[in-house]
Amino acid sequence: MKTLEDLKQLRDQAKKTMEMRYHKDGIRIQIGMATCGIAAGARPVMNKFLEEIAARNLSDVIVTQVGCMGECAFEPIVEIVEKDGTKTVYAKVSERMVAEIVEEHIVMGKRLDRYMLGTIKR
Amino acid sequence: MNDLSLYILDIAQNSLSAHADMIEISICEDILANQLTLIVKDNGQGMSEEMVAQVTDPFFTTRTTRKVGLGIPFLKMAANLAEGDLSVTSIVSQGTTLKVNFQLNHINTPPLGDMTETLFILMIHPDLKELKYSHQVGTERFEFSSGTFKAILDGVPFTEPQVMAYLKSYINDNIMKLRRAL
Repeated sequence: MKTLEDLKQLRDQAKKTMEMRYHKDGIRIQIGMATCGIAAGARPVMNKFLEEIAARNLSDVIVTQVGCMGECAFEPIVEIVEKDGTKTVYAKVSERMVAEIVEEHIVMGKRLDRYMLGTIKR
Repeated sequence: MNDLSLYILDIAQNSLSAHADMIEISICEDILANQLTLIVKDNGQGMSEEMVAQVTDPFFTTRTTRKVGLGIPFLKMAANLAEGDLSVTSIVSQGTTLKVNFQLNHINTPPLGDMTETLFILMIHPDLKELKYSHQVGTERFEFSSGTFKAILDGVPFTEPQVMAYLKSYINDNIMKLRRAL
């Protein structure tokens, strides 16, 4: 069983490795987490994003939850907002798509047309 | 929705849209009384009496994208199917409390589901300062508050890989241990 003492040790380790991570102007991954999103499976998708980002030790990527995006039939919807403000919307995202999106879009910067609902260029 | 943890995540989103920065979730599984009680309490902007009367109506919503709001009606339906009930009390500018109960062993009572995932996703919400969780099974109880973790972490975010793994297994282990009696 884990204790809060363990957490203190983790904090000290993390502080050493953390300095160059978490910039304010990073990539933001927004997941629709309203009733429609949750019912369609947004929670495991968000969780998977957190895990994939953590596993790759990616810097300045923020995973966050937002309300209803207004297109409930396409939930779970994931919106990726890049540093320059370009938004890409992926529709009907399932857990197995997440690793691919992280690898191709977040790491390589290549959009996955087949999963996309659309892009808004800034 | 398949399980209670998803309903709880959904209800907590209502608190967040009411600008709450503190949410208290408590679950009580009382084997002797055969009751499962769930309370979600927030310090958001609250609702008028008129609005409270309307929240269980699926055709009432505050959002502007659509004309239906199914979060609370869904949960109410689930409770009613399991001989339970849902009630909402609210004070304007102080907060809202939602209480649901289910008959614990009723065949229609949804399983608890993955509470750890729900709690973790709420904890990392940027607008939420404090998430309090209390879970009681019989006489045993597990409690935590995200503020305690935050104070220990001293600026290290919950999403830092090792910290995330720690928090999830801390919460999960405790809930599993607690529910062994069921």
